[in-house]
Amino acid sequence: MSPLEIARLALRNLARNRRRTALSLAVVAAGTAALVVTAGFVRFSFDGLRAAMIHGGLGHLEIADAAAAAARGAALDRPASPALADWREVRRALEALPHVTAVGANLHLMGLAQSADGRSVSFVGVGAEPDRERRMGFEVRLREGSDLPAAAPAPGADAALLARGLAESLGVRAGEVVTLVATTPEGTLNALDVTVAGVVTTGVAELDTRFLKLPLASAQRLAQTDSVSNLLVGLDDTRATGAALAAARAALAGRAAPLAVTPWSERAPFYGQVRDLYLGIFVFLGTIVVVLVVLAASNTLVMSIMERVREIGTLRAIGTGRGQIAALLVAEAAWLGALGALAGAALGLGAVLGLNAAGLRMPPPPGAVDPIDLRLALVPEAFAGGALLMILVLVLAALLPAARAARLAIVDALGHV
Amino acid sequence: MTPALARLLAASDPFAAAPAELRLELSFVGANGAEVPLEIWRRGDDLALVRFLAERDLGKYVVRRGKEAWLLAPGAKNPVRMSPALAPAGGAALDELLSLRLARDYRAVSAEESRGVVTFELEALAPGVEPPRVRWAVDRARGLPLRAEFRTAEDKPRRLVEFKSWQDERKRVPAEIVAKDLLRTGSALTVRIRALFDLQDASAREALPPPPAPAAAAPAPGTVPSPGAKDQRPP
Repeated sequence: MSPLEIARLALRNLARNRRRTALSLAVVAAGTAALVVTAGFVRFSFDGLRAAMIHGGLGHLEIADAAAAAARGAALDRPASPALADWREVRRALEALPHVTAVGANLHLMGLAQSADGRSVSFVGVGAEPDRERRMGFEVRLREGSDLPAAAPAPGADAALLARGLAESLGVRAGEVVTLVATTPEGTLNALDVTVAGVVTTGVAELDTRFLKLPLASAQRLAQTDSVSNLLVGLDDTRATGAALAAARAALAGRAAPLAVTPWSERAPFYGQVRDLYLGIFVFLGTIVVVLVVLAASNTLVMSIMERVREIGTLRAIGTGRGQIAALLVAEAAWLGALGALAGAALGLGAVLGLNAAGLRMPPPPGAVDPIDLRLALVPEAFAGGALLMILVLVLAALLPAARAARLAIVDALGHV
Repeated sequence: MTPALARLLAASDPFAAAPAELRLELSFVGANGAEVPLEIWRRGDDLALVRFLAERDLGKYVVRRGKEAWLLAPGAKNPVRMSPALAPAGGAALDELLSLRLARDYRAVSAEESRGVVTFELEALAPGVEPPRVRWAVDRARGLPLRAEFRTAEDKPRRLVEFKSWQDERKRVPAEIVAKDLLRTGSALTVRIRALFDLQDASAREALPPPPAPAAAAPAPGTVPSPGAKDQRPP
């Protein structure tokens, strides 16, 4: 028998017991669909988390004074000192690089915010450039009031966005004035009145209790400095991060005061932890799915062989070789895998589209403020990989029963009851 | 404690004999290495005005009345009441030191001498005296303090002040003091005292520089800060 004949015969054999074949196909299809849906959820979660990190304030690259970055060390939440004095020149060099949409300067602050009625709450703040942040796709989640104006405010017209927990603690709303007190780089104190332009959420409950954002010019007035803590680089495509990192390092090499260029992934250990966790869950679920499919398929194949022992004896008696018998049974398994995977891919596609259309929401993750949309990504690799995996799993599951069937003695097989 | 040690302790107190009304010209080396010039005006222990003299600090003052302190800054319409958390390490250390009255407020629990240095363990006589405990090290031969360790009521070290050099040993006027806040991380703060004026001394008053321009005027130490207080001049 030629391979084509074996394949055709195997397909016809599957049609002989339609109910058993349908059951096997259902198991394989469900396994494939489970892999497709899980991969879609994991991919969407990765993409969403990455976008939230990058557009929530990290940018794609960070440029900071190397010594200040080293002093900051692993404590990434500790504000960097305003050590970047010639940041405008550095920015000009960076904005000339390919893929760079904008480079925004940040000045980090810590201090106390006081309301007019004397309530005071400690804050962590960032002075930023709203116009550039908009070009970088940074997201401002306003709950009340308005965003910061694009232009730098004149002295005496300073404004700030307060995170909602901080605004609640101070008892202030948009339009009211709070006084910010912070330490200057020299170690003296300074104070600045700012009007609350709006109330925002950072998305992180803990940070919402103490975060505020103000225009860079206001932050520099408060800190009495012209320097900034770091520069954030926004790119038009996250996949270009590696190339942009190399280009930025090359453009900034040879400076007297070396600069550290850090990609967003190194500044977001949380992303790596979540990624590892999700991948672990995905592998765990995948293993369970594969084991279930293997067990179900093995059972079906063994049953199929046990019912066809005399048929196998007859085939052997009329000259069919052991290899051909084994190949026939393995081909049946491969067909089961291929057809089941095809059905599973269709089922998975339907599930992904259906769940996305349903607009379901999940409760906020621990520490987060807002519920998150349950959306699934379509992952072509999951469709192709799932199908190949199922075919491979079915073929592997068929190897042992097929080998046993091929080893049957003709006389014993013909006399099998 | 022997009478000799008691005399040494009393004589080593640099601020016990400080004028009741004084003006201190000093500077401190900021965290970024820049020198921050300022002057302190004091009347008794309860009233003090710190005026920042650097160009970028013009119009910035700290006013203290008793234990209450306010920050006045050009960017803020109203004075900002300063909690202890806001007190900058250097200013607080110096002000604490200026308020120290060893002979009046403390009793010596013990005194140990080693290699010419006498270390007094001092305990506040009344509750509310800050700091509650002081470890005071004195150079016996010169009668000058070497360092003061401010300690909590639980006897844990809180702040270390070292007297590095003196501009007038006889009058116990230090030239350079290094303060280190032991409860916070950060580098030590160096305070350099340039001049001390006794404001009750007419000749010293005549030596004072002219008052600042109205825009940079300061409230008088004897007044309670108010929104209009920034327009008042120092004495």
